[in-house]
Amino acid sequence: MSQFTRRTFLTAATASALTVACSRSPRLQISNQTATRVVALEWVYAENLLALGIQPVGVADIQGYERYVNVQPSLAETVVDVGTRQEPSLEAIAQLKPDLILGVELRHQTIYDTLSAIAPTLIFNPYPSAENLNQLDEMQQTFLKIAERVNRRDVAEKIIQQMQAKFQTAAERIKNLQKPDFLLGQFSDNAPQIRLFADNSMAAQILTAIGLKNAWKGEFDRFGFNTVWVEALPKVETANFIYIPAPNSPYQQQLETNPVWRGLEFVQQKRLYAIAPDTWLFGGPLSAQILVEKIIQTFA
Amino acid sequence: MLKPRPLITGILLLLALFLLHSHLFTATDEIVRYIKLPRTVIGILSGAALGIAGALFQTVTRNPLASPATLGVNAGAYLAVTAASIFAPEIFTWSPLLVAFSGGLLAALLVYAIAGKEITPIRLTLSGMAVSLALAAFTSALQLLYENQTRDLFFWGAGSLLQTNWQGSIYAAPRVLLGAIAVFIIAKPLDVLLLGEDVARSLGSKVQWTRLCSTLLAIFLASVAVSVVGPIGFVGLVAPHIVKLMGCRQHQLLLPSAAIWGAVVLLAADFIAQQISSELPAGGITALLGAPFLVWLVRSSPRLLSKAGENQTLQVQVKSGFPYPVLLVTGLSCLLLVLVVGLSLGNINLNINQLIQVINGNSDALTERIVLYLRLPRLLVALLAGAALAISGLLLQGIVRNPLAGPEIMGITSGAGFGALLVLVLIPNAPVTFIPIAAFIGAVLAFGVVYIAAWENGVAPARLALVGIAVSAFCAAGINLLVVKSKLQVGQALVWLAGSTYARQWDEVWQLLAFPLILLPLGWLFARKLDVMALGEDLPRILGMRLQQARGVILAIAVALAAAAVSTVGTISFVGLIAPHATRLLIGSRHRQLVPIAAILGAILVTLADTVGRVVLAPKEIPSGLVTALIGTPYFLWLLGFNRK
Repeated sequence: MSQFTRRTFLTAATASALTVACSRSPRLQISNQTATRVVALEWVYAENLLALGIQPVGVADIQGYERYVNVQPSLAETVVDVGTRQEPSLEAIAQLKPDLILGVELRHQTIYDTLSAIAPTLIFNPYPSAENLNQLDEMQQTFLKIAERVNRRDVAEKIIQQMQAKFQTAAERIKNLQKPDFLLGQFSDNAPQIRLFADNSMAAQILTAIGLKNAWKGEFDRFGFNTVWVEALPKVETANFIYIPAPNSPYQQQLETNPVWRGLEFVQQKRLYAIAPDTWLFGGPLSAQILVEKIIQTFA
Repeated sequence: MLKPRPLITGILLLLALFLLHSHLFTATDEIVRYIKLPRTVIGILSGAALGIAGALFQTVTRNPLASPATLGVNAGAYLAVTAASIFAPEIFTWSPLLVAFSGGLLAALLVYAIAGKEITPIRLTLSGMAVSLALAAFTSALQLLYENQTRDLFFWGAGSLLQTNWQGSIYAAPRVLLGAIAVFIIAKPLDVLLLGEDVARSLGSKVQWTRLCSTLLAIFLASVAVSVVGPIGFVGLVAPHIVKLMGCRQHQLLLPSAAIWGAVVLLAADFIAQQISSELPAGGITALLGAPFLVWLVRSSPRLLSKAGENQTLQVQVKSGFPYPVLLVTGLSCLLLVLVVGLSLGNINLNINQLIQVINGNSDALTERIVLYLRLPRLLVALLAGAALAISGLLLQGIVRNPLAGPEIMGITSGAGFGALLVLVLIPNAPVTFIPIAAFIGAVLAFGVVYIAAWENGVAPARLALVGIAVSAFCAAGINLLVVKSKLQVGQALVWLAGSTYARQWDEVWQLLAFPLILLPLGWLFARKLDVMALGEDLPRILGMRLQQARGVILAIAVALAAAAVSTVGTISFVGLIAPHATRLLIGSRHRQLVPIAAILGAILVTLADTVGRVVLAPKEIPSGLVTALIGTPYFLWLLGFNRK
């Protein structure tokens, strides 16, 4: 006797629809051709292309890129600004007649179909929500995937090896640090907030790769950081405080005269390590190397 | 005979909260003295200031829905802080307090000035709402264009009591005290004002003078509050109501009690917020807690607050002088013109010949893609959404008989936003089609809650409006919290909240089309009943109308239209509120005529906004929802000025 009731049918249909809808693999526009005209809709992908020696034809928010992501080589004058990262101008992108578009999941998933209609599109997710996925690994994998599409795989592998080598040398130089425990914090420019980076963030993973130990265990956040203020610090005061200051922040200035801050162990023992205010923590292999250099400089 | 019950209960609660909130006996000495205690004191000072300001605004505008935010203080402060952070960071570094204070003050003075020489409550309220919306739109635009520079301001923007030293309290205390003293002087004349303008005048009271002083005082106190704790929206609305519902009417008791209860609400909200998570701003919680409380108070009080908010339509002697058919034809031609302009302008500008070639199929692939797949669907979505929102607002204003009514006030817009953000922020792996669906469900659910909560042998307009505001504030608070939580995803959240026609495809056109197509004619048919319903509660019944049924149907139409529009384009918040007013100023108040013209006006507004947003800063895009506020407000304010009686 058939157990195939209407209910079973509906459940099965919904389930299969959801499975199809939830599948994240990009619509395949399989092409074995090397992409030469690439549009990067997030800064890290522009950085990656430049690392591979390729100038993109279009980048979103070039002004912002030059201000926040300062790595060499820089974008050529001929690169076209295609609008904000969140809402890039589809017309501007179409006009450039690209053969590859690189986007990020948290901004461009909704326009994936529209972008695919213009050119083959790859969407990456640098902030995976599952707790066991590694942002540093994702960064390297994405770098290699992009390199494949532009036929510079060998260059990419060399750069990654260079990055790993840099980690090694850095680990050597700070091997003799008394306390390897650290906190990585970033002060905000215009709010009483400090971002403390957790284990799943790429920045913290880079620091772990050179031999330091992250003392901050906050609640899990997919972006890799918790926003706190001075009250959260006493419980981790034994660690070294590596931080990116915000020199113009009135709140950081207020903090420096606050007795609770002054009473913290790492303040009193002067285990405060400031790195340059323009350090970029969300980039690719080049940014990672710069971060490591800066850390070594402050410990020296 | 003054009954001090609200005052006494308030003071007792405040003392209890003081002990709890400052952790006086439960935290280490230094943390209490330099972190917790300043926070508590600031909470008391700003809560008191907000409570007094709210009570004053409600009396002066004679609208129970008024609050410190109504006169643009919060919006002005937020804009000033955002703009300073981006363009003049040195000034921000030097004194963030002064920046916020001047922003709030200037905005409110602007509102006051715009309301005209003859300040009637309704003018002040409308002017305030319009200016607030415009300033908020500016702020959103800046946040979207300068995402990295402003990303941390959301925490302040949601209202935060965080203190690192006593500076904030030292700044606020003398000012709030000053305000409190001034308030005692003004209390008696305000009681007289409540009797009505003519009575007050005949009693010898200087009405304009009292109004001016109270408004300025309220603006001052609200600005002080916003400069130390950021825009906190619900305290000034709910504290006076709590006190009034406890039976307090005379201002000599009302104002101090409102101050105490303002402090109570704010401290309670912050205390609870801190228990949940230290990353939670207080302002988000004030509405989450205050809203259900307000709904409960409204339901348990048979004699609601004064009905002063009702029947406050603009005295329309207007008539711009054009007969209806002329307006209709002009409107339609304008709409067509705007469509053609929208198709031609953009990243590349096309001329008419090229457009005609595309229609004939003779054009190259790029131009065809741009016109038929990138521009046309957006414009059509804008058109349909604009018409739907305008009519929704019109119908709601007719039902509630309050000029501040609109999809925003009935909880529809914020409910949709809340639903969408829940999916966006908490379930990031969900397929993108879930977002509009969640928005639609959110809108309908929120309105359902409003309707049910306001139902008591039928739905009285004043109660519907107040409950609507409570639920709206609840959802808006939820939205704020989700925005703070969204962190790096904030751009996506903001765009959705701003309301945008970006990247809308033909799919969305077909999805949206059914709603206005069916509901607009229905709305037009039923709108005639609104003319009768404007006469009050009893007259329509006497005339044989089944009031509750008519109300129900019209509400359903309004909600469906708004929910459909908002789930497709996000929360475009200006059209449903202001477009109906602009139409009334053009054509009078017969709904048979209002409906088509309002629909056309709404359509023109959003379609124009889409084009302007695409063109002005190309290739950067300004979301249509922001542009509607930026274009629409000056136009509306001009109409307001043009129509002085």
